[in-house]
Amino acid sequence: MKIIPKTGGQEFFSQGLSQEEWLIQIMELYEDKVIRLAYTYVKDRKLAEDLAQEVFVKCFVHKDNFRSESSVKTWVYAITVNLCKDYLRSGWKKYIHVIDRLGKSKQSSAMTPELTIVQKSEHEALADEVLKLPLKYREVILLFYYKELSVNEISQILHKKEPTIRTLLQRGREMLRRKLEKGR
Amino acid sequence: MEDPLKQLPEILNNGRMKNISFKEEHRQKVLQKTRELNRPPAPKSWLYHWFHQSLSLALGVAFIFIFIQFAQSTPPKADEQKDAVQMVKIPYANQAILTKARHDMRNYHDVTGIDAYQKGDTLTVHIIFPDNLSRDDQIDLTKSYLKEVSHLTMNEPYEAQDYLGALWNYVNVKVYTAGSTDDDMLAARLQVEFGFDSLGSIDKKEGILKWERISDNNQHLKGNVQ
Repeated sequence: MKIIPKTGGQEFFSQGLSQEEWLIQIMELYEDKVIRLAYTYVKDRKLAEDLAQEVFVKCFVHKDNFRSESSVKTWVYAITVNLCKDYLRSGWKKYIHVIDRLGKSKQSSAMTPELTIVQKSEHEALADEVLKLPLKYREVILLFYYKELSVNEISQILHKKEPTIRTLLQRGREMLRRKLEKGR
Repeated sequence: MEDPLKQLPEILNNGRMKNISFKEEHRQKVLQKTRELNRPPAPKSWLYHWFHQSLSLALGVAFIFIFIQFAQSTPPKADEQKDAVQMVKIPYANQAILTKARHDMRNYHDVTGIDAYQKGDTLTVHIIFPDNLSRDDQIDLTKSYLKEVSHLTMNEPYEAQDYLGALWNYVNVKVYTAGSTDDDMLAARLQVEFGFDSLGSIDKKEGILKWERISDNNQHLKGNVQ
């Protein structure tokens, strides 16, 4: 199997690979990263799997749109983020969300929120609180800390200016700190 | 103190993300989708071609039929079109005079309907009287109407008329008798029991409307209205 650089740029696209080989290599490099990033948005495993598949199909279809201004990783993440946001905005998602909430409200009667929190470890509580953050803070926190991207890369993915990203990071951290202190 | 968020990759990857991975079946699905995208479209069945061609033919025939129908429909005659344009373009002052005269005749005299229109500089008036009115009364009422029009025309300042079109130089009056009706438009369809035409001229400077009966040979009358 041909080896491709982990942070490939334009050269990644000009290695003489067939389209299918190219797609397979992209998937090998980013499949778990993409599916897990999708999960942080939709918080549903099945949905994340479907969205990750869509991401790679999109990568394949829009391969020619890739510009060497950013890395392949940033490009793939940007497609993932956009697709997840499109899904979250869609009417179908809103419908599912209502059904989901109804189901959860019935289940939650068995265990009080206090008991649930006590039973969780600190790490789980942190992960929980991160995933409960409002989307605009959550995505920045997760891209920065979980995906370990730089502020510059995040600004490219989210199409926001770097100072905006820094502000969102700061506010997200503050919000998280308050929530964790409250939970103790 | 270390930022707990720095442990986030470890926490998530070993925690809730542990079982979330892209499996071989997902990979195959992606490859399947991309192969479908690249596949050339399947050839259409003969039924599709037959239906498509029949539909095209039917639409073509329908279009030609409509086009022929449209081409065959005769355009309105030029004269009729010109008349219609002239009738619509009655100058404002003249229209006001006609409206006022009609209003007065309906309110102060026993007249069923008045239909007046202008063609060029000639005013044509159709007056419909109730059928119980004597002929002399009809003639008197016709004079009243002409007098009304005359007075209104004379009172209109001519300087103001410059841009409103020419006032009438001649007045043609056709008088019909008919049963009581409020609908002026019926005048065109009414049977003429007897009628008389008057041809008149308005002397703008002297303020006189001269008129002459040109039909109804039994009484060839002339008159002035001042």
